[in-house]
Amino acid sequence: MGATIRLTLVVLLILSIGVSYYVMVIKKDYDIITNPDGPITSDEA
Amino acid sequence: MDKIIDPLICNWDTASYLIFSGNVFGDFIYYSHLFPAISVLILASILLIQNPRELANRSLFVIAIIFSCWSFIDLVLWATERTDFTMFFWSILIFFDLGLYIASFYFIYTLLKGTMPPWFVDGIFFLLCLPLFLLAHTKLNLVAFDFTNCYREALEGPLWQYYVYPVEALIAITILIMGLSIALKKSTTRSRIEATLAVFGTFLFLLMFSAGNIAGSLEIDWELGQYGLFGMPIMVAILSYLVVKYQTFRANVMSTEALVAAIAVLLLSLLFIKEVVNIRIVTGLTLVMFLILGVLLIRSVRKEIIQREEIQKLAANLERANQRLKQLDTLKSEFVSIASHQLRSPLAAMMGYASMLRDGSYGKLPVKAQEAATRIEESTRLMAQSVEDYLNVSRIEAGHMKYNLTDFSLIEQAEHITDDMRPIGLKKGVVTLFRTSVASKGLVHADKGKTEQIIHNLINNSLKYTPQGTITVIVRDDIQKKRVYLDVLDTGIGMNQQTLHSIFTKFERGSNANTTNIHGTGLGLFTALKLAEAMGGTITARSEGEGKGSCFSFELPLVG
Repeated sequence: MGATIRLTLVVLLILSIGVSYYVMVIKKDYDIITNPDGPITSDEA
Repeated sequence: MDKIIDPLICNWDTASYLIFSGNVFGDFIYYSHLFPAISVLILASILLIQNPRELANRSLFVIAIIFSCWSFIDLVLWATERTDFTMFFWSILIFFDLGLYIASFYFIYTLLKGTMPPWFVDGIFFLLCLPLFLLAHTKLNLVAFDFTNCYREALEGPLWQYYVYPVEALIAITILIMGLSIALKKSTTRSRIEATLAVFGTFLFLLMFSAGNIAGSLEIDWELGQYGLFGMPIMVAILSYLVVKYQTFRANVMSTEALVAAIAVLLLSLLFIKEVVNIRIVTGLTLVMFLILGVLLIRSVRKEIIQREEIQKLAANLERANQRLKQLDTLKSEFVSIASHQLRSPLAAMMGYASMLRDGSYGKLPVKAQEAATRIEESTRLMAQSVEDYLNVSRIEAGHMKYNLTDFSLIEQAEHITDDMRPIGLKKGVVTLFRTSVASKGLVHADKGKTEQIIHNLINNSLKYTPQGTITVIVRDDIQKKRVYLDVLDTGIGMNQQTLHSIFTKFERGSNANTTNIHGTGLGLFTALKLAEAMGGTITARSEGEGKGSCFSFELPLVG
């Protein structure tokens, strides 16, 4: 029983990493927040 | 806005091999990430190779893998210029963060208890991880990529602050309470110290790791997080100390290898120091670690040398004692053999003359003198039989017993011996019967004299322990198994289980033998079994209990 749960956990982990890769790297489905004039660079700061 | 940010805006460097770039601006980033990861990987690998079946070693190896993955992902976050990589690696960091605490729980549990936790513990951790599987790719994990400045950071969502960090704190406290409660229940002071140190080391690592991460998260200064990673080398040092001092993890020969490897990692990590300014701090840390490990190393080597010398002394003493025992055993066998030979000749003379006196070869004796001569003859015969038993045992143990193997019928021989012994039984009111149940001729390939002696011993044994009733000798065969059996069943005093287990042992006699005044040396069944085994057979005994009779089965390979 315990071994089955641990195995399921590993499988779900791999699947979840796959989903994250699809969302973040392939679809790039995330927000980017910045200033209206673009980022403050180190020179500006 | 476009998701592909031009790195030129912020003058970001392009990372090579994911983790090497000019974007890494912290003082100790490579040192603080690579040194702890490599040190725990080396320790865990050595322990796993030493004893792969040990559950604690496996758990520690899982910790090493998760920690190394975490360190690698964190280095990627420091080095990469790509926003999508930052978002992806940061989003999966949450699994390794929580995984480290869960693996630490399994490590302490398996180390202290020696078994895996019950299945419901796996279930609880499964349920705790479930929100991460479902929400890792959502804004609850990472709200957005922060491009308000040029720090290349993601904004952590409520999943971190309100779920992962509290759960991690809860697991760490559980480890401390559970670990200490198990440790304090240990029977010896040594095991209590050993368990407490392991719990303390693991908890300290988790505490430093959490403190670094939470401080980094709250202050939005991720350089603070790297100091938390130094909890791992401290844990590795404590575990190495346990290995050297207490042979924890059942690894008692790897201490020197582990310590030398740890020192090598320390020196190797100096190569990753980015700025010369930091060299003093890092060298200071390395020196402290070197001194600690050096002292442990010297102690372990000294201890091993002393132990080896003691073992060598013990081995030499043992060898001498063994030689002496062999000499004494040979002397004992020779003494018994010579003494028995010396006794046999005069006994034969005594028996002969007593018999001649009784039969009137030297003139007719008065009735009382005839009775005395008969007593002398019988006692001498019993004594001669005892001497013969001692001689047989002496020959068997010395390996000098000779066997003249021929083909003959066990049926005929058994019937002949039964007929010869029947009068002895009749004198005390015991009827001796002979039966056969064979499909073959009952031919065996064995020593005829030795077989006769075995059958004689078995029937004689039954006669001794059967005050009245019957003794039945049955010869049967099993064509399929190619075996022939001779069973001697009696209605005598029987045996309990304890006697049954020891009945074929040398000098062992029935539990009632002394109280019922039965004469014997306790060598008959021992000799019979050894002779039977030497001819490819065996003897077994069974009884339903005291007062319920016994059955001895003598078996030999069937010929033809």
